Amino acid sequence: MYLLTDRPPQLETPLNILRQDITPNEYFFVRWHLSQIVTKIDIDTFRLYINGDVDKQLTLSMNDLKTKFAPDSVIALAICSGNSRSTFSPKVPGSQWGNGAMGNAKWKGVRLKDILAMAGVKNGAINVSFQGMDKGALPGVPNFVKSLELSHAMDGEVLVAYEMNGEPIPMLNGYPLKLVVPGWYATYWVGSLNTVNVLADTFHGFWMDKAYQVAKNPALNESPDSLSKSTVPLTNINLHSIFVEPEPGDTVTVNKPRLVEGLAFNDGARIQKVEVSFDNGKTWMETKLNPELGKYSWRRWKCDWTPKTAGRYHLCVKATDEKGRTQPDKQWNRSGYARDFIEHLDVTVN
Amino acid sequence: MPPNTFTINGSVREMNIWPENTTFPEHEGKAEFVSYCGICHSLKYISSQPDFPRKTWDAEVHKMIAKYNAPIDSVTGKKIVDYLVAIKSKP
Repeated sequence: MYLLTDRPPQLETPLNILRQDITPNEYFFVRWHLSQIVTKIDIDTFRLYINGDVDKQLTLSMNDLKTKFAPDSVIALAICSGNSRSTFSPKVPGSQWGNGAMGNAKWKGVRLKDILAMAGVKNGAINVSFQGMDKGALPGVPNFVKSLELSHAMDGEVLVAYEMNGEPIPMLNGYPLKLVVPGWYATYWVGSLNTVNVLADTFHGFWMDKAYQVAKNPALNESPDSLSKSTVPLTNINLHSIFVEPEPGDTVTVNKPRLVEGLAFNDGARIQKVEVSFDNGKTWMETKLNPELGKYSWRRWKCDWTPKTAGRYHLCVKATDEKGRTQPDKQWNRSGYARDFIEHLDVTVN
Repeated sequence: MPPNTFTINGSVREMNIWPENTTFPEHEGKAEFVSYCGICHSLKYISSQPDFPRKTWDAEVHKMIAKYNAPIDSVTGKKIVDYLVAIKSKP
């Protein structure tokens, strides 16, 4: 894996790993915000606290989670808000990810809805906040707390996961519990989760109000000379598509069929088509989509390409989903979030 | 691959994170940069950035102080920005 940073750790998945439908745990991307992450824990004494505007505050052990609730699973893409940040032009400060801050996994755990039902949500509650066991180096560093609207928290899809691909969640990825918010960027997927607070007011905190903000327009777009004055929190995964084969710098042989492959993904709407261009966007051809693995999984696309002449080729890929959404040619924002502009790939054929 | 070890002893899991070893060029302000910036995060957070103009480094250091409560006064802050500009700037 690529080590972007060490304290707190951020590791990126190599592109060739994304050729697997399910990203193996040992290659799954890692991203923490605060330097004091959990490095030692006794699962027997670990507790998940459900506090706030509830009839009954809960203190749940891992055993409680596994025996008092019916388990549920989802295959869902986890993708960092800043995935592909290094491809923005002009470049922006932040973790300089390529395309590898994303992974597809089978998450197993308890529906948040069921946990909140056991606690009994009081009338008038409107928000739920989530905090993990990680901390900043100094008391003044804002705690990493994210929140959801109560209706979202109760939708039956948000999961408190205790397993990732059949194994306990790796410590680097949030052992023992990770919040899974299918269809939303992974900033909401709070790792080493141990506190859930039901609130009668809208939650306010640094990581919801100041960080992870995007320009308030449908394209989430702005320009360096004209930054958007209004911002909103980043939420749904933007429709985007990438190449996983060939890789940048690869050489392709003329007159031989070459597999061209990639991924398309969004916030859960069906991917309708993925088109590829071999001439810098002048002409497009539709690729073959693999069967769906689940509405929140990525969708793999493939096509065979037999270039007839040697030279430099400029490939592009774009996806369209059932909501009629497609991808723009250009996009920029000051934080490098939610990349969705059409991906290009330079390939040499000889 | 950076060295780290994971151990499981009964109900206890433990992980040892790899040591940091980023080196930086000598220049005025290096001492301030290393001691203050390294409090909350490793210095790889800076070495992994592309070159930026002064305006961007200024905004980043200001963000650390204003939003993340970094204990840096304005004199030290300027020294740190000057250092970053000296080692990682583009016009």
